[in-house]
Amino acid sequence: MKEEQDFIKRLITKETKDAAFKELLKLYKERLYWHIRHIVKSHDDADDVLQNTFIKVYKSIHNFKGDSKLYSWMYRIATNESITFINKNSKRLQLSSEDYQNQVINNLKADVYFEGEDIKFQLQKAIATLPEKQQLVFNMRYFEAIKYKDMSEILDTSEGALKASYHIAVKKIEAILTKD
Amino acid sequence: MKKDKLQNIKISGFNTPEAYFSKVEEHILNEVHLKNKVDQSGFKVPENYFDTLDHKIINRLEKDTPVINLKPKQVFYYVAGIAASLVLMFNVFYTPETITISDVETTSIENYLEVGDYTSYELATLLTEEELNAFNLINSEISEASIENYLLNNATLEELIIE
Repeated sequence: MKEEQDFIKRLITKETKDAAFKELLKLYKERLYWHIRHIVKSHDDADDVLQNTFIKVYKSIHNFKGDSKLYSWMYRIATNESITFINKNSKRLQLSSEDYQNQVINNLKADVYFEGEDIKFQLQKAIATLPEKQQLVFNMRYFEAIKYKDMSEILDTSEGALKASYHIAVKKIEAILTKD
Repeated sequence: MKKDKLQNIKISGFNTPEAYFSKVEEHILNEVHLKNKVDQSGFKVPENYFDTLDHKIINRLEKDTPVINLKPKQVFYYVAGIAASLVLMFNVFYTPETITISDVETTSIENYLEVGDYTSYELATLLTEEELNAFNLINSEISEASIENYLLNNATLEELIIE
């Protein structure tokens, strides 16, 4: 905890800010990338959102109150940026969020950065049928192995509710894949 | 009556939620089945993407110019200032032709000097010494004929007698 406080202090102090930010990038770029990628699906979109996330972190670090861990604060920013990105795009294309998500999933077939195996495509299709929050919980637990305790801070939801949400999601997806 | 000795306490006191074991079994099996089918998302990243990412983000931060928040009143002053500058520039640079002293009628200059309350001394201060010499006012020779003509035309007999 003390280490984190010192690190935050370095991130806020003008003289040490840039060096500390480089450390932050090194530590979190891959984790945050995968978190964002599982939400927005395409690599290019994930790249855009990830850059925006880090720029927002850099510019608003002085607003970080320390009520939560730096890690969960950054995940919250990444989640919000990803959802805002999806909403803006679906609005721009005049599509409902459901239609937009179907379009994004269908685009995966031709995506060079998506492994073309059918079962992986079916899995993504099945995830897309879940409500937004369940999708988040499923991705964070199944692919990113985030602890319920941390997830609870990031999504501001009780651990019990998250566990229930995850188990429901797994059951639904398993049922869809078995049926297919 | 049995005494509360350790060998007599057979239960820990811990309890579980209703149907916990059947539910936990189902949860675990569902997850195991799903992971057996597919346990990866299928997403890939371009080669060296993470190596070049730091540089891209730092570059973007360096290029980002700070945003200045203008208050409405300040915005008004800035806009008004720009508008005034444009009007001034228009006047200065788009005047059809520059007016010189030769374009002004001599009569207008005479009228102006007549109406204006100037002494000859004040007028002289506007001229440099060189300009005064160039006029050669002091050393100008005036012929006797010219003086006679001037007096005949302008001076009255009474004035001459008084002098």
